[in-house]
Amino acid sequence: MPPKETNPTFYLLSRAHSPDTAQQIYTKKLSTRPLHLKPTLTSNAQDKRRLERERKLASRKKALKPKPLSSRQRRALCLYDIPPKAQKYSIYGGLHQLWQGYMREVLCGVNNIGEGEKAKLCSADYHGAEVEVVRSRCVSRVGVKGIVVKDSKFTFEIVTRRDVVKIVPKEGTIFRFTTAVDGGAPVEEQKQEKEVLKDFVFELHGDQFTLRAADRAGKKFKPHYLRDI
Amino acid sequence: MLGFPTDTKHEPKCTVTYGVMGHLDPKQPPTKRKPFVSVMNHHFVQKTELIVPDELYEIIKNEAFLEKNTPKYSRVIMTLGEITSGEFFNEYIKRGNVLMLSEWRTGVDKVYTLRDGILTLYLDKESYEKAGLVGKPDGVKGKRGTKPRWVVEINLRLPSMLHGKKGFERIVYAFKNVLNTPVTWLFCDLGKQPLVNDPLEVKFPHRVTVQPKVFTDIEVSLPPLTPPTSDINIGYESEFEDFAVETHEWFSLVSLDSPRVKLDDKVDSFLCRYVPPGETHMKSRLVSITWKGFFPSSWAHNLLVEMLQNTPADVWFSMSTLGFGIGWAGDIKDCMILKPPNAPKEYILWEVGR
Repeated sequence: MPPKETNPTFYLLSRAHSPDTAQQIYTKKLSTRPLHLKPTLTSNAQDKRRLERERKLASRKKALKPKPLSSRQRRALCLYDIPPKAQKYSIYGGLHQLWQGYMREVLCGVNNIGEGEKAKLCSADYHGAEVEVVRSRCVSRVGVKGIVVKDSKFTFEIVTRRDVVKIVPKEGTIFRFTTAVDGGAPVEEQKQEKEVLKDFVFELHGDQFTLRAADRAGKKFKPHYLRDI
Repeated sequence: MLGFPTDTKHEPKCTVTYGVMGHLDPKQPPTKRKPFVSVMNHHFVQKTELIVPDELYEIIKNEAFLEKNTPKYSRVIMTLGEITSGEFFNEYIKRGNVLMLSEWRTGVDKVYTLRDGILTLYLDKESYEKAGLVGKPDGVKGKRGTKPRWVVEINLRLPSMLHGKKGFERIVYAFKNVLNTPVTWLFCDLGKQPLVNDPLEVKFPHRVTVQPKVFTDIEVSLPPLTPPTSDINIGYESEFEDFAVETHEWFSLVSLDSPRVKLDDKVDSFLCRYVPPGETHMKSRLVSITWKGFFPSSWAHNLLVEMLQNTPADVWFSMSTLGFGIGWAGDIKDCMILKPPNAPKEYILWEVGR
């Protein structure tokens, strides 16, 4: 293919040789040859190792399974972050009401909390619960209070009343949940039979809870001797 | 196997110092050198005892020494939340200077102390983890099985310690939810003038004025109170150790009012082999003056300075202070100072502590 006049290589060649020679040199010797540039300099040992690994992976002939994202890629994609507009306590008020209703169905009545109820509490879902950190080996976590926005394997993400999302690790921490449950038979003296709601408060040891909410649904919690607290 | 005592690293020890005091300026009494610094280190003094010979007691009585020295303290029941709120907080902590110590059982309860505006809480593990205030572990490190106590120090005089500030709100939360039981406190106001509207009155304090208890006419055979000289003797170290141990023992027996040190003691040597130390004994009469209560270290220091000023050069006296032991296993803090006779600037100091 004859080079265009605006091609800088051809222009430089044509300054040195006659037009025919220049064209010949260009088509035969220059345009098909690959130009090796100096490879990217990596000053970091970690980056060097990463490039080596990627080079080896690329040269493997076997088709590889698509791997899950690494944590660096995950954080870079910001898939699981809560955007600043959504970090408002008022937004999750409705979710909290839903959770309270769900809890009332799970625990039918405050008077008979038996083994079955406790097992249900262990495998319940806590998204939208109003939680307070009551005791922790890391002292600065104590007193954090808000609505659970995300229940991951090792942490709770809690949005506080001041519209701040706090990530509280579960390890070595005890959480307290408050919910309103049926208090029993409504008082008969009143004309309107209002349902008596009592506050039901229970505490959870975060150490024993380091599971994803999905995994916890089917798990049976066996009674073990816990670390002395 | 070999009979060595095990684990003496953390047991209380007694150190003896024999030295020379500097010049005593009444306007600027020394506080940085021994023996004065040991007295200043007893932050909460429980008992002070003076053992003096008869002639010195006459001098002290004439100076109206004892009438001037009647310190006051109070006992009051409050919660920690009440200390950090209201008039009490403004008057006594922010503006004034008080000393407070809470009641506790050794090894079991939490202790709270307030000194120079710094509130120190000694908490067990559970209360510390619930309270949410940052602190340091305290006590024997590294021993398996012992749970360390935690110490939380809060400086209440900082400008950031006001209601509404974030750091203070954490403290208020802790005092409202976790450390909210009322405790009995010993309270001592270090201010110069009593306040007009005393915020403490609301809590119905029990005020106590400490009168010294004087026991006169203790007839004893006095052992030699001059320590051995170090000029010639090669065996000085052991001699001095013997002197120090025996003299301290003798003074402790006098303060316990033991019949063994009395002049007319005739006890069968089968029952008790104690003999007062030294070769020569002088018959003399002693007077013991005791103050028991809750005193700041400045009062004990003041007492020591006044005694040193009023004592003539050839007379001896001894003063011992006992502090409240706030350690986990009942730390004792005790010190005794003896001014030997015929030695105006010398002193011997016994300190017991960890």
